Amino acid sequence: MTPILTPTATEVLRCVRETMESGIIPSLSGRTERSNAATIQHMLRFVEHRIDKEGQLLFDEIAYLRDLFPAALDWLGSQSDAAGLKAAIGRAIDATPDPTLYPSLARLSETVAALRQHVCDLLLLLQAAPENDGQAVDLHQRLRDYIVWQLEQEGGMVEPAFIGHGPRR
Amino acid sequence: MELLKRPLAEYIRHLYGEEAVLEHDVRYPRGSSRLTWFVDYRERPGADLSSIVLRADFEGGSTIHSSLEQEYFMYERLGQSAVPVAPVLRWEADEQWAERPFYIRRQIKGDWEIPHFKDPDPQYDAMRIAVSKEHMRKLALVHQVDWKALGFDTRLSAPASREACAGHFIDRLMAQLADFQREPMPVVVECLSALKKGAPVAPCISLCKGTNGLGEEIFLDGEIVAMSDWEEASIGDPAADFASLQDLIPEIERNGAKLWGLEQALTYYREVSGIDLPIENVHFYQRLRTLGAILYGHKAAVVLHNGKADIRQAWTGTEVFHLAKRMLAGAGGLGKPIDPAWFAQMNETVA
Repeated sequence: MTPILTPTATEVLRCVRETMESGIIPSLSGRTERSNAATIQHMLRFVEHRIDKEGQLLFDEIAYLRDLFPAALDWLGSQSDAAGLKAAIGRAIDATPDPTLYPSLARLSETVAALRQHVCDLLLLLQAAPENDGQAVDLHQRLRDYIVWQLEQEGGMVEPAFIGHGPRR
Repeated sequence: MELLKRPLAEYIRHLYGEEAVLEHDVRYPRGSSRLTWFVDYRERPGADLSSIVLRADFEGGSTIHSSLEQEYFMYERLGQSAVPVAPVLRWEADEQWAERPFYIRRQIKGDWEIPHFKDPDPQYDAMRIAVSKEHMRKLALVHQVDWKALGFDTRLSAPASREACAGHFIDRLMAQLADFQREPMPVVVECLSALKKGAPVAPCISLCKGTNGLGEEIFLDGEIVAMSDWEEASIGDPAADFASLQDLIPEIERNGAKLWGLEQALTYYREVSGIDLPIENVHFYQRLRTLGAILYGHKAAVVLHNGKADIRQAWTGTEVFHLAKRMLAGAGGLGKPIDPAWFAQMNETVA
């Protein structure tokens, strides 16, 4: 058995949710109260999933985009009006986390948001690129694949928390 | 009641006189964009029961972009048209009473639920088609409103021409999103260009209701006696309303023959409205609908971030927002199709 510090936040939340389900919800007589309780149950389950998965998801997304961005820098090198974006993406690739600071979810989330903004800026440039720019076509497709991948990652955290668990309201 | 600084019974006496008696109040459980309270009272003991509806934003703000004042304005002006709506009675912003502004409208007798409407048993086919036709007749009334004469364009922006309707619709949504957007959304940037392709010319420029259909309209004896939920109202291509239509055009096929569906509904709508609405326009606005879902999903998340959110906004800002992104991706040719059972689950309400 792998040693672990217990209880985890997920375990506490699960206990809260299960107690609410067995010890509180059956005594609610008003429809509004039961409806609110149903939504609360879903939200508690969502947070359980999120605590378990969010850190790794953000970490993986940073790695995915850092792996993709060098191809973007190559293409941006041939673009005359993209010096600012090229510099920003270069800094994002070279950035190293401060070893004295805990890489909290909030920090990871800020990093991912900044990287996604670069993706948005790139997409706008790529949508305006000539159709015969093969490098742009390839890069555009890689960004489209990233969007699909990112939504699937997010879905792995969100969808099991709700689907199949009854009315939301 | 959370909308008031003093007890509701006192407020009812303040409005209707010292003898007025509060009988019952309940919050509508499904509301996820604004708060709705149903209140029953008597002007004096033994008098007939009167029913009113109180509408307000959630404490942390609305899930939708348009203001409560605009919603009040819609009801007030629609009261001067042939569209059936509940009369508005009062805008309440008196700080002695109201925690935050709300308005009151008369509650119309009827029900948003239609027994067996979703039941695929053939014995209900005729009823389901009749209900759908009734909705077509009432949508026709909305789309025939003289919006210029009634001044709707003083609050809702109007496109310059039939050709401009689609672009105007998209620009309006994107401007609204820019007002509150807190996170970059690559899926929106990428899919927007796909959504703009094939923009149709509108058959006319109409007042549009926004969300409509099952759950939004009040029925009594098979007739729509009040149309509710005008918060997404706009001026533009009437096809937008067919794209926002919830459930009231059932697809019914028996022994290989199509009895009812979108094509049949549009044919009937043309008969009663005189508006020849191409089905391609509806399909175009159905794709745009996904952008609207992004707006209210993200707005709910922003309200949650700011604090004082309602629990329903927590749901809208998480599951609904994620689903909206997947729907938009699908409309832009990205990702896997979404299981229809997921939508069905999200529409369920506790017993």
